[in-house]
Amino acid sequence: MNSRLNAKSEERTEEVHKPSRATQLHIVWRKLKASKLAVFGGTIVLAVSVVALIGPLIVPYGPHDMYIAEPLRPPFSEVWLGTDDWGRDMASLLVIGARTSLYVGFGAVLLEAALGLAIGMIAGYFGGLIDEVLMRIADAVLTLPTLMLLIIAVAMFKMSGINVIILVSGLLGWPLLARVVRSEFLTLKETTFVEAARSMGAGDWRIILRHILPNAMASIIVLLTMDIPWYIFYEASLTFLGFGDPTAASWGILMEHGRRFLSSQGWWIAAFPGLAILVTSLGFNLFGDGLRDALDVTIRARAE
Amino acid sequence: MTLVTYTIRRLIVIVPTFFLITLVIFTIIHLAPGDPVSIMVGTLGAKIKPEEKEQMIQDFGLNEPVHVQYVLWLGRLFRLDLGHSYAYHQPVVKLISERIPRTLELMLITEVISLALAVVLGVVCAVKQYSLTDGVFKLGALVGYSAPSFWLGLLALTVFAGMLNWLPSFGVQTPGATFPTIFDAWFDHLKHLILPLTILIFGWVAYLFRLVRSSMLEVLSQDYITTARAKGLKERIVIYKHALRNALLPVVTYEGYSIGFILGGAAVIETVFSWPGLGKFWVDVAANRDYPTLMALSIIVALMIMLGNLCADIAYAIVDPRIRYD
Repeated sequence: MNSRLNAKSEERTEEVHKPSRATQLHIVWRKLKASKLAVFGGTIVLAVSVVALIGPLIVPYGPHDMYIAEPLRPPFSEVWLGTDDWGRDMASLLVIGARTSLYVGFGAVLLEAALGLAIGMIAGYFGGLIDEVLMRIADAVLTLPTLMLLIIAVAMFKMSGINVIILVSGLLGWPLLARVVRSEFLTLKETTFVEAARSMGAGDWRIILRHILPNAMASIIVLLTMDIPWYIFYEASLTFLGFGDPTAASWGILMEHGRRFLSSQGWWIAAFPGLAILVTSLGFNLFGDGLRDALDVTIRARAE
Repeated sequence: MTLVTYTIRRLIVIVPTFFLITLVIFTIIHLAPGDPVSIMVGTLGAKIKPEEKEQMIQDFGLNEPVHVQYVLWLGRLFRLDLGHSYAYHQPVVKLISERIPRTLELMLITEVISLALAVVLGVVCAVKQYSLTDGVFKLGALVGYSAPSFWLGLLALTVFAGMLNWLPSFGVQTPGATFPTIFDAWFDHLKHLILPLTILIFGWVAYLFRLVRSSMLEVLSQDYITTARAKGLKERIVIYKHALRNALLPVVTYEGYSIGFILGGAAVIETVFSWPGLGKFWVDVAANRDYPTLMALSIIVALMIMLGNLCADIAYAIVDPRIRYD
């Protein structure tokens, strides 16, 4: 009897002292699920991502299919979300537009992550002169007016618009992430578990990738999630300003195309894509807020 | 060290920003396919022989490497020679100086009103965290920064200019109208200002409000606030004198360092409302590939960004009692 009790309590202490990665994830997941707004945001993100991934494969019409019905048919008539002034199917255009937006959002965020992680890790881990130089560069890049440079870049390299947007936004977007990664590394490299790893003979890259990076992931993921709507905004703004292929399907292009019809016979052409952007970025922002609370990190708002 | 020497030191640190911004723009322009001479000749509608074109490329120094061309451009800049616009056939200085006041007007009013609103709302919501007021404004801010501002602008135009016909839909003044007194002209201008200002302020308050609120919450949880309360100070004094001053520090930096961001937003909003300012001009000039004008505009943008950074540094020094001027 006595020994059985002992065994049980030993088991329990082991559980408390050694939280495995699975339990950590479980805690975060539980906190995330408890927040209604985070669940709502996450659902939106998931739904838009699924639409962007498989939607374009199953929609009945493409961006070049004109006169599928009378032009300017209102929504909820015989065409579900109506047609534009070229008689294109609005629902199909919106679905293909979702792919364009998320392609830019995730593409730019991946580039930002690659640059920000590499630069932040090197600066924070090695310190000294290299840290000083890299952070000066980060400060300088942070002062650059992103959207204004994007306008020039897209105007100059019109041919490959969407990839230029990804490239330039990523190249200009990394400094804040680099700063966050750097400060995480500065704190984490002084911890005893890193010292322990080093005393056991672990090399620099092993310590960086296996011991420090996993502990810095929370802040990184939150920051990246909240940055995706920015890149979606950039793409929409640029195409709205007329720097894009007018026959492609993008929410920004649709808004530019539809603004002439807003007050007359076709309010839905510009209203729907704007609503789509609002809902998508609301999803990412709510999910990011929820993640931040669940992962317990503090990150300030962003201004470029 | 005094505030003056501190300011001069910050100024020296900020100067490289100018070269960075202009150099980046210069490089993008010169990496782009297509040469400026063909575009310039094209806009003049002239026919040109290949050897004449070669001569022009020589004259403009376009056969030199990019960094040499940049130095040549700097040289012309120091002789105050900004050149002629390809697209507008007017001196660049004239084109830009006409548009600066239009953008400054929008930006300054937006900055001042947004900051005031964001501080008041941010403090109220932080003090009454989780209250109904807090919830309502948090939701409003969430919509404000999730909605694309140009879309809100389009909707506002449709409703208030198109359907209700209360406000004008474009420009800064009703074209062709005559005004009996100067006040009528002002009133007319004011009506043109309302829509673009409201959209800009809504977007900007949404960002600043979140920042003020979270910064205020952070400060309110600190020990020295508890101490101040324990001393028996009035809650009003604790919040507005002890807490707010420290909570404003990140806000001041954010506002000063975001001039480039605000200018980018203004470019889109000015285009929506056909507002003849620097932002819309930036878009038009980029679309026309009007290189001399674009480079001259980038000087103004760089100067505005530098001024914003400097103001932020000085304001930080004034607000932060702890800062040592070194």
